[in-house]
Amino acid sequence: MPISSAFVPSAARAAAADRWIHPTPAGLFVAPGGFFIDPVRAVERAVITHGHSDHARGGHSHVLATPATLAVMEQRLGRAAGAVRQPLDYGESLTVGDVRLTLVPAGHVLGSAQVVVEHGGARVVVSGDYKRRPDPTCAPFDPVPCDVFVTEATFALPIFRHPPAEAEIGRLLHSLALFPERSHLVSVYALGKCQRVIALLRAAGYGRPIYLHSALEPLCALYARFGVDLGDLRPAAEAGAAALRGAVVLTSGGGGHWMERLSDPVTAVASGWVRVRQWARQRGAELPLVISDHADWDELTATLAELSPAEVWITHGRDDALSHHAARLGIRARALALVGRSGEGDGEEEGA
Amino acid sequence: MNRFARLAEALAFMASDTGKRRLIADYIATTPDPDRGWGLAVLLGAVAVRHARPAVLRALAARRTDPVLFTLSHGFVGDVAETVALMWPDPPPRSNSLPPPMAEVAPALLSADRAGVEDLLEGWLDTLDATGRYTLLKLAAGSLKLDVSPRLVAEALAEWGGVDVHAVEECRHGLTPPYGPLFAWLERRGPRPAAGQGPVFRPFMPAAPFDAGALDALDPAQWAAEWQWDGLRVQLVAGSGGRAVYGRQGEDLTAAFPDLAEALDIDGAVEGEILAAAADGPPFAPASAALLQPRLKRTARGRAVPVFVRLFDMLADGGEDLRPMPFAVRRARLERWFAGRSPALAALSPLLPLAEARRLHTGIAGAGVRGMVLKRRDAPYDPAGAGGAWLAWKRATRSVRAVLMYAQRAGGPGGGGYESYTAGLWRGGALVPLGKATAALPADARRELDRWITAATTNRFGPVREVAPGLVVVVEFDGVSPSARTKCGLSLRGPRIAAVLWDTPVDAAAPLAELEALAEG
Ligand SMILES: [Zn+2]
Ligand SMILES: [Zn+2]
Repeated sequence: MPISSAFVPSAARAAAADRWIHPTPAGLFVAPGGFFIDPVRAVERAVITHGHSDHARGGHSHVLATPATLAVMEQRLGRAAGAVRQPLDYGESLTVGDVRLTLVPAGHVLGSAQVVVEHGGARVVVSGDYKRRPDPTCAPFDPVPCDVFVTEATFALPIFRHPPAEAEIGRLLHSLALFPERSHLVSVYALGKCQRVIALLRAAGYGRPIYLHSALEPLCALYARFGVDLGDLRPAAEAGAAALRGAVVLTSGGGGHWMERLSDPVTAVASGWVRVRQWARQRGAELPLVISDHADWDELTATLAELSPAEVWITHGRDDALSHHAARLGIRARALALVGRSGEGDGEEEGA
Repeated sequence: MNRFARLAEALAFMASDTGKRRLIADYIATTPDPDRGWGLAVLLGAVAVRHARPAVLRALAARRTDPVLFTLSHGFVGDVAETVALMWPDPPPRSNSLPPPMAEVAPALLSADRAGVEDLLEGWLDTLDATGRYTLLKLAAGSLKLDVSPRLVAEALAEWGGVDVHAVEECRHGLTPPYGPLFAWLERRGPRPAAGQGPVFRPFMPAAPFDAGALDALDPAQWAAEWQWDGLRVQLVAGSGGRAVYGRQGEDLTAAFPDLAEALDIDGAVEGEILAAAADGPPFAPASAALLQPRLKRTARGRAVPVFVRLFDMLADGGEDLRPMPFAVRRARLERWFAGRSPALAALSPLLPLAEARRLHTGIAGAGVRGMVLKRRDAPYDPAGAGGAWLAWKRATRSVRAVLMYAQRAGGPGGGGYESYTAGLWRGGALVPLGKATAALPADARRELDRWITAATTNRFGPVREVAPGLVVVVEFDGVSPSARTKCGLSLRGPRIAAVLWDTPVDAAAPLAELEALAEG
């Protein structure tokens, strides 16, 4: 049963919402449903928005998530992925205690979901991480009107405006054409960014084999099982120097003996942070590619304007700038300052 | 402008010179005239403006950004120009106003006045992407860091055009942006641009190091010798297009030597060595090369240093390029020209007989001469230096280990450290002073030495401090001869402290007899 899009946000319902959904040291707790969303500690019942490690921790007794997110957790966490794992498809609703719970696409990575919780006529949407741009490797963000929108704010400064990812891939292809003898070592996050960069390269007509650091292989295989075609991928560790000449090689930071076989590599970094030069330099990028799986400033503010919730709660990132902007839109803003989120992107998987 | 901005960004991040050259060549190959010419002008540092001062940048920020968000963003980015560039709204997707071409931006910046620059920048910023905005603001602020030398740019052009890098350097000095004739030549659409359009720099011919042992293998009929002067090698160029003094890398030194440029009555190009003139010597007696430094820095003191030039080659006479001609012919042309004009502040560098070279080399005097240059008489002037037609025979440096005895304070208020040092050699059980020496030490080593002296001072005589004999120094000199006027009976030419041997015991210093044996009879 799909959730209704004919919904008029209410300030009164929003103001009352923190009586039943509120931050705790373990994470955001939905009291009438008895579950946490993306808890940072092991809990009895957890609903997980997506597989990034700062959202999907191990050790919960009961885990509810999309099938793809459960698969990611099983691959990364093994037995710790949760004693009982309950899949819930996008758009399907489920009653948990006194709460109706629905997962809708967040457009962040494969399987990423916004958690829609409805209780006593009030509706709160917890976005997890999201973006609004098309991404060939995951379902697009589905805007759901609500009383309270719980948003991330990773790139919530107006300096962060991600250029079209296709144009950034164009710069990588231009560099490959200009330096056909040099390997192009692209550093990416293992979940999401890696597969998106590959898919964007394929969409741009790049048909040659792409070489992977071994840490990236299982997740790419998982994406393929979920129907995302990434073309000819090969392990970098088994490639000879001749094959790596002028090739695209992806790594999530790990190295190995194969790196010595790279020919005079051009080091590229695919991340939203490299829009700021100082960050690009710190990452040692010769070719900074501004590609992010998070909403940029324009997407964050456009989403607030589009949903026009009565309140916005900000989980992690730059809450100061987004609060300031929300106030100008007449939306009450509240910084949740949830612990355990890597905020500015230093943690594994997060940010970028 | 967006295309140039992508190049500027790629250059700023690219580590290798090979990579940079290829990026520049790609830009030149894919950018139309006259845009690429103005892009080249920026790469060569020819668009030097400082309009976008911090106040201008902040005023621009106020036109388009929320002050609270600007403050938060600036706190994160740290650079005002970059913050403005990143925050400035992007142009609408199908905007009517196109980004300005480089051929509009660069000339407009060069002719802009301070009052109009804010509106000018605002209009451009509205049409550019983030990289374009950043590059524009940095260019307008005079702080665009491209990390490329003119030499690297010339190499990139030469590689791309398949021509010799010297040929590129030569004609680009004679051309102005947007360098249409240069590109026409590099694309084989036009002739090689004449080098006579202005004061054109011609790349220098290098001299290969020479070892004295090979002297006997040289045929005296084939080779000439000259002093290698210890000054500043320059090219003096003049003609209808103006006058210029160029240094080794083609740097324009005209502003530092306006008197030489003024005295230069020539239509062509000559080469020589600028020397500081000794205050009280005969005409054209050289003083220490160190005196040229304040000249180059264009300080008030520097302007008072008298200089002259020792001429040794002629590269162009009127419109005629003399470089393909043998050295003997060029030298004859130089002498003929010199005799006809007797230019002020100039002297010819004498040719020395090769048969006398060894004797002359042994007796090289201190100030003014670094050694000799041997030149093959039939060789053309070749900036590639192929075949070793010019050989630099450096003067042997002589040195002796001596014990520091005295140091003399620099005069004047706040005189700081010491201006001269006296070290001595052993005779019997006593030290005999060798006379004053200067310090030829790196600044930090000199400070350390001065600290040691201050701590080891045992006596003061006016500005002179006597120190306890505890430190061995290396005294270098250019020559030594007997003298009746010194305590040690010897006179050193150009003595200087070249090193401090902190851990050497003082009894390891040399006996005076060692120096006496070196003295020329
Ligand atoms: Zn995430
Ligand atoms: Zn996150």
